[in-house]
Amino acid sequence: MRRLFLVILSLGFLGCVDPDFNTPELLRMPRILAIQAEPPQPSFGAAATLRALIYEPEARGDAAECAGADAGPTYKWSWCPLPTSSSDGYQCPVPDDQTFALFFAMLAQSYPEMGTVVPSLSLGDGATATLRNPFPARLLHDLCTGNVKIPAEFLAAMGLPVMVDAGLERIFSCDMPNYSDPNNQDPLGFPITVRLEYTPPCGSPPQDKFGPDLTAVFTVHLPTDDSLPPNQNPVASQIYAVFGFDPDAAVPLAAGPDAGAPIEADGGAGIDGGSSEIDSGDAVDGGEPIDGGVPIDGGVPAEDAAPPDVALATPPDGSVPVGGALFPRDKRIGLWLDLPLSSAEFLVRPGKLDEIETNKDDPALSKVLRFERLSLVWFAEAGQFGAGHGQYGRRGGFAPAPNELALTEQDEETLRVGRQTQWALPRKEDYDPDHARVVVVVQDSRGGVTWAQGVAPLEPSP
Amino acid sequence: MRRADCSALVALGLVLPLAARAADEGTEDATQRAAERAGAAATEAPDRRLIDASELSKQPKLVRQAKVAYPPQAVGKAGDVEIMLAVDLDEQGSVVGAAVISPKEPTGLGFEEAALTAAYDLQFEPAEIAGNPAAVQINYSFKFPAPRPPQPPEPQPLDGGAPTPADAGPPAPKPVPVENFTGKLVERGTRLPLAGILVTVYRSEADGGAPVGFENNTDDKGFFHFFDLTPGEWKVRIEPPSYYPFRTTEEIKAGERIDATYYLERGSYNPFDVVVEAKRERKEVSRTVIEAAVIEKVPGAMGDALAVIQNFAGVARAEAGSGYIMVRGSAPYDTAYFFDGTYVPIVYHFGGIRSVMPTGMMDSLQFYPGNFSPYYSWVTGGIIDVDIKKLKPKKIGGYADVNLLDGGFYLEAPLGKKAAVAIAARRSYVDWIVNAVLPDDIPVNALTLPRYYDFQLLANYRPTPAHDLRLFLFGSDDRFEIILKNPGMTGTTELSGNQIQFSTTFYRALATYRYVPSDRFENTLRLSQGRDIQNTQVFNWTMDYTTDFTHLRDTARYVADKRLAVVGGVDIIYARVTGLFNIPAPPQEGESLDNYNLTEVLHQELDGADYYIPGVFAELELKPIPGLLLLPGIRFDYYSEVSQFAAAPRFTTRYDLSKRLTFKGGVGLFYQQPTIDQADEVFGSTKLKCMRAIHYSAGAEWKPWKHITLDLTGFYKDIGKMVSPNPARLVDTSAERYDNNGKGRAYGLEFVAKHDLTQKFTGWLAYTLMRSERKDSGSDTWRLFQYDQTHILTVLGTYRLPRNWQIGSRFRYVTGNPTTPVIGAVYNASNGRYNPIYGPTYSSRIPAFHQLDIRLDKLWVYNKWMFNAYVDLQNVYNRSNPEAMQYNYNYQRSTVRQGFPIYPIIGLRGEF
Repeated sequence: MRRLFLVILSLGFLGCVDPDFNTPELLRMPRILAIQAEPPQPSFGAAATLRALIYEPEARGDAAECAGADAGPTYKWSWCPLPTSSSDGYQCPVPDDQTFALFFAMLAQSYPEMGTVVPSLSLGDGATATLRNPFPARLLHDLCTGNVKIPAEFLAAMGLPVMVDAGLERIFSCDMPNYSDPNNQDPLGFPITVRLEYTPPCGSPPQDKFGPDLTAVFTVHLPTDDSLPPNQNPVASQIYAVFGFDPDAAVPLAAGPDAGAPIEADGGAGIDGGSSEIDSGDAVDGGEPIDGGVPIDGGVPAEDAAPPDVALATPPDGSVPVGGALFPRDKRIGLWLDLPLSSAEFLVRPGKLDEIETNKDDPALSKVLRFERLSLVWFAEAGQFGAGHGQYGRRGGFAPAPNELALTEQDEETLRVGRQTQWALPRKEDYDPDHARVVVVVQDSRGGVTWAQGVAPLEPSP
Repeated sequence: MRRADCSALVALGLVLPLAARAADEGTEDATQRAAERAGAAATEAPDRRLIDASELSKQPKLVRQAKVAYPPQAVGKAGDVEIMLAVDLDEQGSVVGAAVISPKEPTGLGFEEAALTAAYDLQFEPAEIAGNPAAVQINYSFKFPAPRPPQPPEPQPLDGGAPTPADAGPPAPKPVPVENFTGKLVERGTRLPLAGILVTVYRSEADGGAPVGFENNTDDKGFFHFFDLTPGEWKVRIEPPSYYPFRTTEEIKAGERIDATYYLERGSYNPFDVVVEAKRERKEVSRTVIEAAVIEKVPGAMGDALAVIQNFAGVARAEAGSGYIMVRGSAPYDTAYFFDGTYVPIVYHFGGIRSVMPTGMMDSLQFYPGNFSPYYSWVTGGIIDVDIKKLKPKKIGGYADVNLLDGGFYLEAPLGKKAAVAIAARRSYVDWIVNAVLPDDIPVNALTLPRYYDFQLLANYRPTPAHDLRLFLFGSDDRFEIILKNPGMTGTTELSGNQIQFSTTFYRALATYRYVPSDRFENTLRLSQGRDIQNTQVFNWTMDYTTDFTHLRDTARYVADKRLAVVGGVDIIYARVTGLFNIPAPPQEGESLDNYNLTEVLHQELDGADYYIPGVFAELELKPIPGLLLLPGIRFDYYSEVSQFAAAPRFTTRYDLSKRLTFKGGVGLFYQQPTIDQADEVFGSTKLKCMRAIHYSAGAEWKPWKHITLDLTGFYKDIGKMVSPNPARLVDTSAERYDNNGKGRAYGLEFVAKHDLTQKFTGWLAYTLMRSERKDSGSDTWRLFQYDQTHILTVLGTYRLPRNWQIGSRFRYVTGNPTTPVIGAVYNASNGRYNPIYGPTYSSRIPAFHQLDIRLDKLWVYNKWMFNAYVDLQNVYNRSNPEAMQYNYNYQRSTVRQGFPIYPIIGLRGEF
């Protein structure tokens, strides 16, 4: 098994060779940055709105060349009800709508609540798309647990191996709850793949290779258990800048975000946030926390036990004042995301704790408390981040008892570090424009996504 | 005319007759040449097994001297002359051959002819090995003292009285000789006593008196003694062959005794000077043996034994830092490593630069690229067997060694005449250096930079020549750890945590008992016990396991007669694994992590899982006609991991058409069980069986010139039942992860032109033309193997310069490794990673590799120790060598990751 770690080591070396070669945090070309389903786990019959965060550079080519109806951009949304593989570019094994209709009808015979309206695998060509969950949770649960028998001809027609004697759980890579495994952190559901093929508008800078079209996939986990509360997208409201940033400084917890310099909210200029109705370019005012504590069996909501959400951005003593809202070039500043702690939801599941030695004899404590893990990815048009990724997970996402919700010092430190980063602002000679856009994408470990973005005005001269 | 004296037996020489030195040597200082010859004489014979003279149960004893006379034509034209001969003795102790070793001058005066003629009159009691007479070669010198004036007076008694005339009255009692000049001859640098060396003291007329001289040979401990030297200045002259001449003057004073210690500097500090070599019969189609003395000076290897293997024919170049050894188109894990025939799973420290065995603990290294004998098993690639040092120290000695990577020491000491012990240890200090220069604000909470150490303890006890007991304890520890402040630095949402840790520890105890009651039978029993401990944490991935190893091997050899010998033995390995694994399934050959779902972490706990491979083997050594050697053999193994018996017949043959030309060939069946993860119920498949390979090879060896050997070998390897990813798994997540439906083949030609280690030069050219292919399960087409390299060329040479300078160089050219092109990429917004869409597997290549390394050594010899410094300059012309394809985050940009630029490795060693 040393092979695996040798490979990892060699991959690690890759990033060390040429710092300019691999800069995923820099926004230069048209690029799909994130896809969000709202809600992230639509229940049976419910619809989720799909939208994408797409970066488009402001620079365009000759406008005259692009005059015409097909100036773009264009979108093509689709979904696939079966597992897809990265090895073939996540192509859907179901060849067409007709085949899926046969499959759907076959399933509907046993699950009549599905009805007779067969959804198309195509989700249209709008900037946003609507995905309606056509599968009842009990069907998905049965599929995942091998309780559905599908005739061989259907399997063959859908490009699946014919396994007459085997259950379909062998096909569907269901992420079923598994509380006995500490490494399996979150119950997810039945995975379906959403696919977006995007063609940038005319005049966009060309890609280096593979043509102009961009393709992205996103996994939506449909509920397999109606009794489980569905996941919710995290909330990220505003990016703040902290001048005189010291990543190791002890930042007071009680200070408010207004102490920092808010980055100008950008309504989507250049960054296509999809539907204007839910364009996250409008920051969620005030960071109103969504109720993230979702006890399954009456567990304690996070708000009841954890300290209130606090802003962690205060310019430390000695910070350099910057005139107006201009950002100094060739300096390091701090970026801080107003990310409510409650975005990391938790779940409590009773009666699955035989493996938890410390609590197995105490039913009151026989609960697994799992916090979502939040991941942050920072992007900018220029400059360099101290850490392009941030991560927050209370106690590694796992706590043995529901009465231990109070933030520990480690939690606070993890949160402080996880939702901030350093940003080395570009020099004039490296980046001439007078502003640079900054984006941060937040994902939770159950498929929830949100983002925040803004524009940083830069000093006109070094 | 005086009769020349016959010198004492100087040294045991070689079993193989040594050819006379070439007569056309250069014109440089003859004295130095003479000093260097003896060393060179022993070093130039390739492929001989070194046998300590003490292993002879009886050394040859001179029973009849031969007389030589000073050639009349040389009178007045030459002074004292000593002719050193290499004399071949047969099993009766008779001289059957002789050749001049030194000196070559003065020529044409009849000294060599006289010595050679007289040599055949010598008669010895034969040498014996295990009580049986044996043919050996010895060095024997004849001395031709120049005709001198009339005999000098006897040494004067120290009472100052004049010689008493015979007729001056009644005879006085003969005075007791008084020792007034004694001394010891010691080899400079090594402090070894020099026995049998002629020491001459003399005075000439220029010293104010009648010319007079005396001689004395040093005893076993290097001491010489002179008696009754008259007071005054006496010149001392010591000119032993293979040493720089030594001359000095001593002042003898009445009533005083001089105790002197003279340090004589050897012409060549080559370990071959002091050993007896016995021919190691060649039995394999392809085998490379390289001695420690050569290993230490190979450019580019930094004195590390296993790094030298990369220069052999049939060995593909491994990616820098990987430490892989890939033999004849096989995967790295298809080659096994042995220390003294005992299996060891780990041979490299981190990065593959340093092996876990310092060269000081080694005698030699044997490398079998294929068609190895039934003595070895378990793999389908090659075999590397390190011969641990056969201790024979005559004094307490050792060395301390430092270089840019690590520092270490080696100590050895005799324990009486029958036992010896050696100890060594080494530790890297890269961690100390890097820690000292790292800034304080790096975003880590804790850091243990790559650090390794290893240790060895070797003890040898040989109560009688027939019994040899050895105990070898050795181990190694590697450690690396980083705890990041920001867990988000994993760079992907698929990994969590902030800790990266690797540690590998292993230790072994190896006991060996060799019993040689006669020259017809010998038995070697080896038992080793040890433990491997592997702890790995990569963010939320964990792999911690401990493996206890036991290896028992017993090998017996019986020589029925000159035409038949039988070798057989048992070979049992047992392993118990306990561990915790939370990792994705390791990628297989042809797979990439780029498309892995890193969140698909598999969990496995092993609580004392037992694996064992008992095996037996037998091989016949048949010599039906002169020059023809047939080696049919078979091996039976049982692989418990896959519950499979395996019978592996093998056959090799060699035919010496002449002394210069040999044909060879072999065919054999080889088995290899799946790796532990491949056969695991969670990470792999429990239905797997062993892969098997059939090796075919044939070739010829030609020795067109004395020191040159040309070897051309063709090989074909047919690999079946390879473990391969099961294609059904792509759509059936619970299908067996692997099956045995993969196939492989490798074929090619190996050409080696080798210049044997001689007085000044050794080197070789190794060229491999090869193709290695695989056919994955479910596929109908052959594809290139991951490490297929069409052309592998190594040219290497080391040249010894005067005054203990040495220079070496190595040039390598290797075809670039195959790579799989990326033809597209899809962004997976769920994990924030782009997933590449690959073209045909390994359908393109990275650019070729070529590099020149130069090494310069200098040895300073002091009276009681020696100091060696070297600089190994790697990648002299700073070639930007490609190592692997490298893509940016969205696979739209690509480049080749480059290896190390020009860099020097500087090393220092003090030896005493």
